[in-house]
Amino acid sequence: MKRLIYTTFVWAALLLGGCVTGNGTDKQYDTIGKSIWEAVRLDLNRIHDILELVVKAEYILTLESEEQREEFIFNQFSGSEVSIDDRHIIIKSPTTYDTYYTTTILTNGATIREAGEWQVVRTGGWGYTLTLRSTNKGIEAIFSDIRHRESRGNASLLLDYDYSGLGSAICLMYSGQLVMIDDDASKDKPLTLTATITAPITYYNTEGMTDGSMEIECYDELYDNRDVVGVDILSEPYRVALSYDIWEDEYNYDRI
Amino acid sequence: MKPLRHILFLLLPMLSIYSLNAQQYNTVQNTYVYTVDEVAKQADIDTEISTEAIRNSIRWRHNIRIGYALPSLLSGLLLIDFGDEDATTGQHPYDPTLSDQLNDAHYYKGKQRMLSNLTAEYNYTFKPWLSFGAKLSYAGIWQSTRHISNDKVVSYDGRHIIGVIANVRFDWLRRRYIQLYSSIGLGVISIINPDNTTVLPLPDATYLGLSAGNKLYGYLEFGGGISGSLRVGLGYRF
Repeated sequence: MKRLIYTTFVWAALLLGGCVTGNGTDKQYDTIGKSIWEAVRLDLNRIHDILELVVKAEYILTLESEEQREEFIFNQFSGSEVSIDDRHIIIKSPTTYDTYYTTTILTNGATIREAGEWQVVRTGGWGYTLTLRSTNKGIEAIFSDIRHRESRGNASLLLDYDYSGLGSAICLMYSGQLVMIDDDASKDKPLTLTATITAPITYYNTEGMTDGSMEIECYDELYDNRDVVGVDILSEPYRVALSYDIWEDEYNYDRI
Repeated sequence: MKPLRHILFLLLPMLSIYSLNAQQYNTVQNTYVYTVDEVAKQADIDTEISTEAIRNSIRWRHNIRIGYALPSLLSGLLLIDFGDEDATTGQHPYDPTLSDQLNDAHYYKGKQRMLSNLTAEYNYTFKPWLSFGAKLSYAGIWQSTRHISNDKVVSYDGRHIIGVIANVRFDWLRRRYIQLYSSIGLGVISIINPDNTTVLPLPDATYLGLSAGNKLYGYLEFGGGISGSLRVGLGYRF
């Protein structure tokens, strides 16, 4: 009888444990790390585009002859209409939807480096307002009202750049903070990405980001999730090292 | 490991039956050695209950059984598509926002487990070869969702199938310790999903069943329908 009880007991235990019919899913640390980084990377790329345009616009002002300006505009603003007067540069550029967006640069008459104070506003499609000011710490670049699809935000950067005209790469070096609010999932409880640059980012328009570090905090009010992702941009070979919680990885990303 | 476990499911009830019969054999052996009178008495009883009598009399009116079965084609189909709708957590399979995508990534699915048909049955014998009864059947599949930071279970998703079957059983070979039989039944199942419940009428059949033992016995059946395909279990009749 004892044997009967034992075997029945083992049999019942096996039954109650059930058969494993699927192994479940893996923990997706990489999804969290990469998704947050990719979202910030796209926002930074828009900032790079804006700053590249400003650097080129400033370079136009340093060219003395009309021929040089026309040649530069022909090469660098192909397809766009550029009009320049004493204090304004207006660039009208086509979009892929047969419409135009307009970038208006209001200067104080000086280049940015030489005690300049510029305001750059883009309207049509996505937009932003950028104020550039030369200070004794460097050039302040204050982005306000960045709007792109369901994202809005602002950035406060300390900027330096290097550009010597046609044939040379534009190099941007900056540090500071970018805050983007994404209300795609919920208008009342948005997701906020705060990227704090902990080591200055170096960006070349020919290569993308080549150096720098940042810490990205992502707070999602809708689900009450708070995540912090560490980002190190590394060169030779170009790659990015991400870290999140117990997960870390290096991978090659689409830098430009 | 899965086939091994299935073999175990089959072997263990058989071991139980073997164990029971071995106990009875041992009892007879001991009796033979130590109490000759009782052996003689037992032999008289054996002669008294002839094979013919067993065939034509109702030895047990009531029959209660519990068992386990591998899924039939039907019950397998009802369980197998569970969890296929999404590889992650099933909340946002199409065009997720960043918020949804990140939230989904905070959770992961634990192992998916399936318990194929557990059955409980009662039969009442009207004639030596005919009995009517009712069977309850349960099968389920379930999976936990856990948080990646602490592995704590945040929810269990599952599908549970409960069936109630009325059946008719034909005992077509009746020996003292061995019976062969077939049965046919009709019932309803309730498929309980996390967000809905469906009720369906479905058939059930035992193509070939073998029971071995006395009052307490084990059984092995091959059938189809609601209560599974290859079935094993224990029963008690009185």
